[in-house]
Amino acid sequence: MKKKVLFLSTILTTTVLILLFTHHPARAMIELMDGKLKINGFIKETMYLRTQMQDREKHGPGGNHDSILDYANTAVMIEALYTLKDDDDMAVRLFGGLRWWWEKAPLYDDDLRRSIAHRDRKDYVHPRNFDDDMLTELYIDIQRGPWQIVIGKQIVQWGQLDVNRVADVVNPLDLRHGVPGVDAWEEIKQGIWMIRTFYQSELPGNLLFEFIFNPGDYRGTLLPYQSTHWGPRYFKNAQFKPGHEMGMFAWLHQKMNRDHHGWNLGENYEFGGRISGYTWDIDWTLLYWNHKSDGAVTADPAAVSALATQYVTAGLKSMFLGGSVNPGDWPSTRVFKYKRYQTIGGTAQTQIDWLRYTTWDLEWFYEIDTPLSKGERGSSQALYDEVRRDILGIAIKVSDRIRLPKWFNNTFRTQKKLEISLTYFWEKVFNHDHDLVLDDRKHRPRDNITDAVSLFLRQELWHTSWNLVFIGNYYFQVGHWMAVPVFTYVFPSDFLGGGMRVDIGAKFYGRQKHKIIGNDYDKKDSIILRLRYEF
Amino acid sequence: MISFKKICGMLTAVSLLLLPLVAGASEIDLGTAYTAEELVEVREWEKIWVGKKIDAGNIDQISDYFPKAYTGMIKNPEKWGAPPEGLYFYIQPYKKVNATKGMIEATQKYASIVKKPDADGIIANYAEVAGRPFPKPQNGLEIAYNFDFNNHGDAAHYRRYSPNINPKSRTDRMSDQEYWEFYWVQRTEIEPKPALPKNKKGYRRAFFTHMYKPEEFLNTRMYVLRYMNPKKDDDTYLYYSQFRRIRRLSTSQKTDSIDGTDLIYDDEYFWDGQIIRNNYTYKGKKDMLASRHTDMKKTTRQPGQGLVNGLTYERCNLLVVEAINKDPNYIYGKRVWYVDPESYLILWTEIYDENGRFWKMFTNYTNVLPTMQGDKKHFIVGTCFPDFVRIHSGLSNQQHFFEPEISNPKQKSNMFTISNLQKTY
Repeated sequence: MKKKVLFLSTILTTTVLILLFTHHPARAMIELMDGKLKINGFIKETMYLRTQMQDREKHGPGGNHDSILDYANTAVMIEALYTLKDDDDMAVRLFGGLRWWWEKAPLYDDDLRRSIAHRDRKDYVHPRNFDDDMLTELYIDIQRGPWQIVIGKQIVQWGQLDVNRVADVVNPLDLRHGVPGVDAWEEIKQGIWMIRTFYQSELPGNLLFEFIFNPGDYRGTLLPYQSTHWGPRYFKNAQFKPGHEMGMFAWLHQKMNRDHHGWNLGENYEFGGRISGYTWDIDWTLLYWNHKSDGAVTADPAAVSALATQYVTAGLKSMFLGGSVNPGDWPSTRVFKYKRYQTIGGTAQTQIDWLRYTTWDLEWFYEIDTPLSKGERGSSQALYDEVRRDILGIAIKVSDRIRLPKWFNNTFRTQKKLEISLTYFWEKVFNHDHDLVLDDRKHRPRDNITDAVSLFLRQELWHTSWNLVFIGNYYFQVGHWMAVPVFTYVFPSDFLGGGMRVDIGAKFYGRQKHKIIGNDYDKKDSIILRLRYEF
Repeated sequence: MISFKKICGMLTAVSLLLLPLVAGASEIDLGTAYTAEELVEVREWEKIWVGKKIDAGNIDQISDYFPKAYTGMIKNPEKWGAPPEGLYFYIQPYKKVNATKGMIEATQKYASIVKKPDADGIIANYAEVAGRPFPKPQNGLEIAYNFDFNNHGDAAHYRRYSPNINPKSRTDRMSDQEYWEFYWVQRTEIEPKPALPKNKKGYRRAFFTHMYKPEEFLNTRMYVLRYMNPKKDDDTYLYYSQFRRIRRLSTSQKTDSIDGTDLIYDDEYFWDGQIIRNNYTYKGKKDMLASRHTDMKKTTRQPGQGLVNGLTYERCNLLVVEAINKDPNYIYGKRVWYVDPESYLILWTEIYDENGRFWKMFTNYTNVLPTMQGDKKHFIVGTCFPDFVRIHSGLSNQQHFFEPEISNPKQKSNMFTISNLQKTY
C-alpha cells in the first residue's frame, strides 16, 4: 500500500512540476519583467533498472535488493538570469541556479534502504544543505568594454573532451547521482565561490586573458554512497554488524568528508588563469591552476589503520555479543589529506582540410608535485608512506561528420550526418616506483603509464524526432570498458509546449577477466529510462 | 564686361547640358522585372486574377507561373498536412521594388569600376566596391554577384519561429533562433561606407545566432565569420550551452543540417557561401508568381501543415540561374535559382540531389520593410523548405516575434568574438 502511494506521488509530483512550468509553446524560456528576467530549467525523472546483479546482491539474507529498480530520481533544475543593465557601455547581469532531487529507489526497495548507511541515505534521498547541494551557481557578471568580471559561485569549463577531464581542472565533481559519460558535465560539477576576470585584448591572436581567484572555498569530490547505484557494493554479514547498516567504505567515506577543509581563507585559496588565442589556424589555451586536490590523495597510514581497526573491532564484538555494536565516533585527528599542488596545461584545436576537414583537439596537463600514497606493491590496502610526483597527461581527439549512405538516410528519414569523435588519452607518472598507489587513476599495479580510448557518436533519425547518442570507453591497462547507447524521442511541439523528451538506453560495463583491478561498475549493467521536460 | 543677361544665359545652357547627367544619377536603372510593354500584359492578366483565392480547384489555370512541385503541393493538400479547407493563397498586383537610396548611390559610384570576374570567378576589387556590381548582368556569375552584394541593409537582426514539420503525423518540432548579420565591407546604408576602417583580419560579413529551441540547444550560440578573400573558408565557432564548451566547427559542417531543422548551413538565403564555390549558368527569364509583399502575420497554419495559408503572390519576371557546386561530392547536384531582378533576392529555388533527381523546392516570402535609416528595403520575412523525397517541410517566420530590424546603426562588429559567445544569457 505504501509503495502504491509512493508511486502515485511520484507521478503526481512529476506531472505537477511539468504543468507548473508548461507555458506558451512559442517561447523557449519563461520571460518576465519585459524580458529582464529569464527563467529556464528542467524536470527529469530517471530510472535505472539493473539487468545484471551479483548473486549476493539479490533478495535474501544479506542481500541488498528486492527489486531491479536501483535508481529512481526526480531532479529539478531552475536557472534565472536578471539583466540589471545592458547597453553599449556596460552589461550587468545576475545569474542563479538551483537544483533539487528526490531519490526514491531506497523507498521502493526495502533491502536497498537497509543497505545504505543512515547518514548517507539522508543525504542521498534529498538535498540537505542549501549551498552544497541546492545552489549550483549564483553570480554577478559585469562587462564593460574588453573587461569582464564575474563574482560568485560558478562552474568553469576549461576542457573540450567528452569523457576525460584533462584540462578541465577547476571545479570538483559530485558523483553521488551521476558519472561522466552518462550525465552531462554540468550536472555533476560543483560550483565554487570565486572571482573570475577576463580581458579581451587586441593583441595578435585575439588573446583573451582569464584569471580566477578562489578565496578559500574548498570542495572535495563528492563520492557515491556505498550501496547506492553508483557506489561500491555492501555485502552484509548476518553476524558482523559494526554500527547500524554501515559498510567499511561508508565508514571511511564519512571520515573523508569530515576531513574536508571547507571554507578557510588562510589555507584553501586557489588561483590560476588561462590565456586563449588563435595562431597559425590553431585555437589554443594555456592554463595554470594552483589548487588543493579534489580527492583525498594521501592518507596517514597509522591513522587509517586505527580508523579501520575501530570499525573491525566493533564488528568482531557484534559477532561475539550478538546484535549491532556501534564503533563510536570518528576520531578527531585528520586521517585523509587534501594537499596543494599545481597544474599547468593547455588545449589546442584546429581543422585539417586534407584529412576530410576533420577537427583535431589536443589537451594536456602536467601536474607538479602531485601528492600520492605508497602502499606495498601499490596496494591501497597496505599504505605506508606518501610522496610527491609529477604526472603528464595528454589527450588527442578527432571529430568528423560523416554522410551515411543514401539508403540509410532514406530509411531513417534523415539528412543529418553522423557526428563522431574518437579520443585517445595517455598518462605517465614520472619517477615512478612499484609501490605508488595509482589504481584510482586506472593504472595497472607497478605500471607508470595508463591509456584509454573513448568514442562518441550522435545521429539524428526520423528528421528531428529521434536522436541516438553513444558514448563508450576502454582503458587498455586495466581492461575496463563502458558502453552507453541512448535513444531520445523528442515530443512534438504541441505536446506540453514541446520541451518533453524520453530517453531509452542502456549502460554496459565490464572488465577483462585476466586484469586484476576490479571495476566498481562491473555487473551493474542497467536499462536507462528517462523522462525530461526542459523549459 | 559680361552682362547679367549673358551670365544667366550661360548658366541656363550649362544647366541644360548637365541635366541628363543629374537626372541619370538619381534615376540609375537597377533593373526592373518588366518592360513597359510587358507590364501592360501583366496588368491585363491581373484584371482577371487579382484578389482571387487560389486552391486545389483552380491552381491548374496558373500553374505555368509556379515550379511544378509547388502546384503539386496545392493540389494534394492532405499529403502536406493541410486543414479541411485545403491550401490556398491570394493573387495581388505586381509592385515594383525599389533599391534603397544607399544602394543606388553606391551603384552609381562603384559599378563602373567593378573589375570583371577573372577565370576563377574572382572580382579583383571585390572588397573595395559596394552597391550592385553589375546593374545589367550578362551571365549567371554576374547575377550571382548581384545577389552576393545584397548586404541586407549592412546590419540585420531578426528572430525565426521555425517549426520542423512532419505533415504525415501532423506534428511540429520547434526551432527558434535569433540572428544578427553584419557587414564590414560593401556597406551602403550605415556610415562608415563602403567599409569599416579597422579590418586587419579582412572580414567581409558575420552571422551571430542565438538558439532558443530545440530545448537542448537553449542559449547555444554560434557565429560565422566570412572573409573578403573568396578562397578562405569561413570561421565558425559554436558555444554549446549545455556543456559550456566552445567548439570550432569544421567546413564539412556547412553541408550538414542545422540542429533541429532540415536546412544545411549553405541554405541560408538559398546560398550562403563564397560565390566562387559554384559554377553558374544563366538560363533566361521566367515569368512567375512570387511572394514579394507578404505580411507573415496574416498567414495561418495548423500544427503539421507544410505550407502556410493566406500568402499573397504577384507576378514577377525572375532571372533563372543554375548553380552547380565545384565540389563533385557536394550534397546537392544542382540548384536552380529564381532571382528577383529588382532586389536580387532568390525567391524560389529547386534543389536536385547528386544523381540529378529533384529533391527540394524552397521559397522565400518577402516584403518591403522600413529600415532604421528611414529607407525601405526588400527583405525576407519567411521561408518554406519542403523536402519532396521524404515528404517533410519546414517553415521560418521572421515576423512572429518582432519585425526584422534592418540597418540598425547600434549593431556593432564586436559581438562576433569568442568572449561574446560565453556571455551570460
